[in-house]
Amino acid sequence: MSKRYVFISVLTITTLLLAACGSSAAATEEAAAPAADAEAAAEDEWGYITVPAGEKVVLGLSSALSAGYAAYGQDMLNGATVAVQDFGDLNGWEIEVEGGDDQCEGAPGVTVAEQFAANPYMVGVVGPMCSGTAIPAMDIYGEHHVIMITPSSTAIPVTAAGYENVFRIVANDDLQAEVAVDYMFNELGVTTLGIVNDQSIYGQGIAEAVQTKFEAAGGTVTGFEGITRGDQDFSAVVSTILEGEPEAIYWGGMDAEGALLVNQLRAAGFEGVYFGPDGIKSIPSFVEASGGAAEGAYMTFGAVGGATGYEEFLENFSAQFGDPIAYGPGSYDAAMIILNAAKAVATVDSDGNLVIPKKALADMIRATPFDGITGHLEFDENGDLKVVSITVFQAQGNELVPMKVYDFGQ
Amino acid sequence: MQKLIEQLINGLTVGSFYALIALGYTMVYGVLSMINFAHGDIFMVGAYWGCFTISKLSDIGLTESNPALAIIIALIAGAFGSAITGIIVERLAYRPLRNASRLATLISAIGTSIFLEELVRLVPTFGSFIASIHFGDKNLFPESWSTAIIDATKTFGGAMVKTYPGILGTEGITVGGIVISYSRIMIMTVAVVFMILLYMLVRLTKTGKAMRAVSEDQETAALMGINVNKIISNTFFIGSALAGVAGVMMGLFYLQIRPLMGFTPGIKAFTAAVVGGIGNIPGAMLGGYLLGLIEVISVQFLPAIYKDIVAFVVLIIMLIVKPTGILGNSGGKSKL
Repeated sequence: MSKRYVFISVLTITTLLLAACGSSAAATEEAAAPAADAEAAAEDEWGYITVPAGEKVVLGLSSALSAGYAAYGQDMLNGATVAVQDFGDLNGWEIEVEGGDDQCEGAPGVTVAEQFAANPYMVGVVGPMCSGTAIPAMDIYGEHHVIMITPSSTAIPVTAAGYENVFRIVANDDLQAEVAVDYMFNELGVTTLGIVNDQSIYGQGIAEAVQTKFEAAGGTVTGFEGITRGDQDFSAVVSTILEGEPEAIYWGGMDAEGALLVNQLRAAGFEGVYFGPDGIKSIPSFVEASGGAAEGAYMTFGAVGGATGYEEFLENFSAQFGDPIAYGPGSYDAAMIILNAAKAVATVDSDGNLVIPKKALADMIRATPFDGITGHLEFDENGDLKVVSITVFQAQGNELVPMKVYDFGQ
Repeated sequence: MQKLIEQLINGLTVGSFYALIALGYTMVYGVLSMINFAHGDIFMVGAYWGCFTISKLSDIGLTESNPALAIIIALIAGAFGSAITGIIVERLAYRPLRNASRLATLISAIGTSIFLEELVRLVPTFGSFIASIHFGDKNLFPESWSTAIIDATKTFGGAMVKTYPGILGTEGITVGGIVISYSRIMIMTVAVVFMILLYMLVRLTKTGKAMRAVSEDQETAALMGINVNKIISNTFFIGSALAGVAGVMMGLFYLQIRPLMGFTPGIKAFTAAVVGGIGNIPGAMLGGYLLGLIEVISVQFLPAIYKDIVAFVVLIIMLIVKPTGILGNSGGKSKL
C-alpha cells in the first residue's frame, strides 16, 4: 500500500515538474521573440535604456545595508549618493540612487540583481560590495547587459567570467596577498605565520593566496584554520592556531569577525603581528569593535582617495555622513564613471525620451580612462584596472595610518 | 595537556552562555510543553538593553570610575529588558493560542522571532517617525524631546552592529602557564550563581513549588487554587531574565551585538536543552556545558570547520541512544 502511494506521489511530482519546465520554456520563448525583434530593429545589439520625460534615471547600489557589515555597505551608499549630488542631472533627467541590501551574501545579492535588472530605468549598478555576492550576481547583470562596476569585490574570479559589462576599480586579492606577504616578510621580518579565514569566497581566497605566497617567499605557515561568518566565539580556533607559536596571524575575512578574532587572540596572550585585507579597513566596526585589541594591526587597502578632487569630495561627504570608512570614495568613482559614460552616449529621441544604448555605454566605459578621486582609472580587456596601487595601513589609536604604498602595472 | 586545559576553559565559557539560554527553553517547555523559538531573540533584546544602558553609563563616566557597578547595572537592565519582553511575548503571542494546535503556537513563535529581530533593526526609523509626528504646524513633541527620542532610538538599535565599550579588557591571571582572562572568570561565576539561584527558587520557594505543580498537571494545579496564568508569566519572566543576563555578558565579552545575534546561540541552546532532557532544569545546564565542551574538544583534534558537525553528530548519537535526553524522564512528560 505504502509503496504504491510513494510511486503515485513520485509520478505526480515528476509530471508536475515536467509540466512546469515545459510551460516556463515556452514562456521564455514567447518573451524572447518580441525582444529579438526590437533588438534587430535597433542598432545597439544589447538594446536601449529608455527613460520617458518626468521619470528618474536610476543608479543601483548593491551592498550590505543591514547586519554585520552594514558599516561598509552604508559607506558605499553614501559615496554613490554624493556622486549623484555632484553630477547633477543627466541631460535634464533627474538621477536617483536605489540601494539594494545584498547582505554580503550570494542569494540576497542575486535577488537584488534581478530587481535591478528588471528596472527599465536602471543605468548601471555600483557594487556588489562582496565578492561572494558579485560572483553569482554578475551572471544576472551579464545576461541582462546591466553595467556593473564594483569598487570593492576583490576576489580574482570577479572579472574572470568575460562579461563585457562587468568592471572593477580596485586591486584584486592576488595583489593584496602579494603586498601583505612582502610587507610581513621584508618590512616586519615575520617568518612564521598562522592563517585564519572566514571560509567565504573572498576570505578563503585571499587566505590561500597569502599561504602560497608566504611559503614561496621562504616563510613557514604554522596553521591554516577556518571559522564561520556570524560566529562570535573563536577561542577554540585561537588556541589551536597559537599552538604553532606563529610570529604573525593573517586574517582572511571581514571586520566584524576580524575584530573579535584579534580581541580573542590578544586575550589568549598573542603579542605578534595581526594582518588583514581590505575587509578590516574600517574605523568603527574594526578598530572600535575590537575593544582596543586592534592597536598595531596592519591591513592592505586599494581604493585610497587623495587624487584630484578628493578634498572637495571629503568636505561634501563628511558634512552629510561623517568621515568615509573604506569604499565610499571608490563607490563615488564607480558612480561617476557610469554617469559620465551615460551622459556621453545618451540621446533624446523624437518622443522626448532619454535613450541610452547599452552596448555603447559599456564600450564607452571601457574605452575612456577616468581620473577619479581614487586615482587614474583605466580598464583592461577584462574590466580590471591597468594601473593599481595598494596601501598598507596600521591601526594607531583611533586612526588608520598609511605605512607604505605599492604600485602595480606602471 | 596545557592546551587541552585551555580549551576546556574556552568550552566552559561558551557552555555558560548555552546553559543560561537553554534554561529558558526548558522552563517554558516544562510549564507549557511548547518550544519558544523566539527565545534566542529575547536573549538578543537583553543584549541591546544592556548595550543601551552601558553606553549611557559610559557617557556619564561610570564605566571608567566604577566598572563593576556599571556591569551590574547593565546586567540588571538586560535581565529586566528581556524579562519584560518575554512576558509581553507570552501575553500577546502565546496565551491567545494556548488551546490552539501546537503548530499554531510554533508558527506564532517563529513569527515573534522575526518580529523582534526587525523591531530592533528598525527602532531608529520608528524613533524618527514618532519624533516627526505633527498636526498641521504643531509638533506633537517639543524639539528637545524629538531630539532625545531620535538619539535614544539610535543608541538603542539599528541595522548596524552595536559595540559594547571594552570594559572587561584582555587581562587575566596565569595559572601554571595557562592564561585565564578575568572576563571568562566573571562569565563562569555569574552563570553558576544564577543557576544556583534558579535551582533554589524552583526547589525552595512557593512560586517554585507552584511552577512544578503547573508543569506536572496544569488543570489539577488550577483546581488546587494556583493562578496558572500568573505562574506561566513568572516562568517567562525568569527564563527570559536569564537569557538577558547571557545577552549582556555576551556583549561584554565579544563586544559586538546585532539584531540577528540570537539565532545561532538560540539553536545551540535549544539543542543543549533537548540533549539535557527538555523540561529538566539541571538537564539544561548539563546540556549547555556539554555542548560547549564537545565543540572545543573537536577543534583540538580536527580542523575548526568541523566544530559544528562534530558537536551535532555527537548529539544525534546521544539522542538515538537516549531519546528523552540525559536527565529527561521517560514518557516525554516534562517535570521541572
